[in-house]
Amino acid sequence: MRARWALLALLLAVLLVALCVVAIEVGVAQTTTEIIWSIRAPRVAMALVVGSGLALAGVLMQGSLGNPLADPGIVGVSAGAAFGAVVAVGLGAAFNTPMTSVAACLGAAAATAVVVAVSLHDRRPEVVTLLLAGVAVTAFCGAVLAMIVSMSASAAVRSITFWSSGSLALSTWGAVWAVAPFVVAGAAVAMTTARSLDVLSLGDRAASSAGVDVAAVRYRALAAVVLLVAAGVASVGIIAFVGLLIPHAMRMIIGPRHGRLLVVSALAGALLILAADTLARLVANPIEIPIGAITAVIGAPVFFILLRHTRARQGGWA
Amino acid sequence: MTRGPALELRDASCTTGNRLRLHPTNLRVPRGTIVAVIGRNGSGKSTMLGLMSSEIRPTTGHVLLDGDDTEDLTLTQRARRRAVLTQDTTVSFPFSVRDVVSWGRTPWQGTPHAADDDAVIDDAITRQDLTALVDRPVTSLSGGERKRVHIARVLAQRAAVLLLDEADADLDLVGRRVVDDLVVEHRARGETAVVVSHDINRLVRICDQFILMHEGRVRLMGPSAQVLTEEHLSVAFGATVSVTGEGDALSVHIP
Repeated sequence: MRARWALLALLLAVLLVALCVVAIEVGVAQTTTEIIWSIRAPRVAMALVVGSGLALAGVLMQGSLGNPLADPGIVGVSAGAAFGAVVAVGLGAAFNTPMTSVAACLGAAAATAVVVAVSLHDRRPEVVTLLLAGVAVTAFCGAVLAMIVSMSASAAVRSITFWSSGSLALSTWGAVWAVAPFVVAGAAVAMTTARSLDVLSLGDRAASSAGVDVAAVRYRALAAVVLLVAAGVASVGIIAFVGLLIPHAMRMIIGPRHGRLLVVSALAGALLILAADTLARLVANPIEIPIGAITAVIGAPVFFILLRHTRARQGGWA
Repeated sequence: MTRGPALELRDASCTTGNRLRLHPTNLRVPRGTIVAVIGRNGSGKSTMLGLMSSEIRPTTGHVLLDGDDTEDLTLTQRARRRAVLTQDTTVSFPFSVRDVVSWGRTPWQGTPHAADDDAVIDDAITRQDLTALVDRPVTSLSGGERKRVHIARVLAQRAAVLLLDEADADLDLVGRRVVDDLVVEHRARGETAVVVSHDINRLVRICDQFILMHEGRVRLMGPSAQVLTEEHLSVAFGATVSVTGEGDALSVHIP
C-alpha cells in the first residue's frame, strides 16, 4: 500500500504539471506573454488552490463525520460562505479581496455553528442531525441569497449569479492572493487531524474511550473546512461534486488512511478542477460553460460507478 | 502503588431527562477480580458500565478509577487506565484489521511505551486468531470476526481495567472461550475486568462477584453463591428462575 500511494501521488503530480503547461499554452486568444501572465496563469493557479481546497474539505467532512456522503456543500459551509461574501459585497467590499474572503469565512463559520448547535447531543455533534441540519441551512442561505441578489440595485451583487455553478473566468493574481492563504492555513490544520480522523472511524463512543477527544477533533476539522472552502466560494462560486467525488475515488485506490488520503486528494482535486476549467473555456468556444456544470456532468456518472463498485466490494458503507 | 479498589462508585447516580437510570449507588470493584453485571434489558447494566467507563458523567456523586475521580482525569489518562469494548463494532471506512487494532495504542502515543507498539499489536492479533486477516478491510468481515478485531484493539490498549459490554454477543463457542481465557489471564496478572453478559452460566465459571441490576438499582453485589439464588434472580428477572448445582457447576435456567 505504501508504494501504491506514493506512486499515485507522483503520477498525479506529473499529470498536474503537464496539464498546467497545456492550460497555459492553449486558448482561444493568441498566446502572448501578456495573456499568459495576466490571464491564464492566475486562472491556473486559482484552479489548483480551489480544487485542492475542495477535495481536502471533502476528506475532512467525510472523515470527521464518519459518513461518506458528507460534503462541504451539504453541511452548509458553501452556502454560508456565499451568503457572507454577498453581504460583504453588498456593503461595499470589492470582489476577490481578503476582506470578502474573511466575510465568506465568517458566513461559513456562522452556518456551520448553527448546524453544529442544532446537532449537539451530550456535548458532541450527532452526525445524522448534523447532516440534516446542514441541508436545511443550505436551503435557507440559498433562498436568502437569491432574494438579495434579485432585489439588489448593486451591479456587483447582481454579477453574483455566476456563483450558482461556479466560474474561474474572473481570476486575477489579486483573487489568487485573496484565496490561497486561507487554503494553505486550512491544509495545515487538516494535516494535524489525520491520525485522529482514522480513530474516529470507530464511532464516537469507542474513539472517545480510546482517548480521542471526539468533539475537539470534529471542531478542528470543521474549522479547517471553513478555511479551505469559504474564500474559494467567495471568488469562484460553488463548485459541486469535487468534495464528494475525489475522496471516494482516492480511498478506493489507496485505502482510507487519512494522512495519505489528504495528500493524494489535494493533488487529484487540483487536477480535476484544472481539467474541468480548461474544458470549460475550450469546449464551446467562444462561450464558456460554467465549471460547476462540467464537474457535475463528469462527476455524477463516475460517482454512480464508484457507488456500485464500493458497495459490491465492501458489502456496504458501514 | 495504592491498593484501593480498581473502580469505585460513590453515591453515583445517572438521570437523563426525567428518567432516573441509576439510583445513587455505592460500590467497589476490587483489584484482581472479574465482576459480572447482570440483569434484565433496561435494568441499568449499560448505564452502570457507562459510568464506570466515564462515557456517562454521573448526575450526582463520583466515579473513581484507580483512586482518582474520573472527572479529574484527561481522556488520555482514562484510556491508559481502562479499556472499553462497546457493543457497536461498525467502522466507517474500510481500514485494515491491523490499522484498527493499532488504534488501541492511541493513548500511548508520544510515551516510551510507544516503542512496544508493534509487539503489542502483533500479540493482540495473534491472541484473537486474526493473523490470516490482518490485511483484510474490517468492513468485509463477519460480525464475529469484527468483534474479535475490536477485542484485539481493546487488548492492545494495555489498560489495567477492562470493561466489556457483551463481548460474547457475536462470538461462536471458540471465540467465547478465547475471551473467557483472556479475562482470566488478565486477572492472573492482578488486573481487573467488568463484564456485561446475558450468559450467566458461563460467567459463573470465571467471575468472582456478581452485580445484579433491577430497575435502575443494584439489587445485590456479591459472590455467585450469594447473588445467584432462585429468590433474587426471580425477582430481578420477573420470572420463575431455577438454580441447580453449585460452585462452577451452578446453572441458571427458566423452567
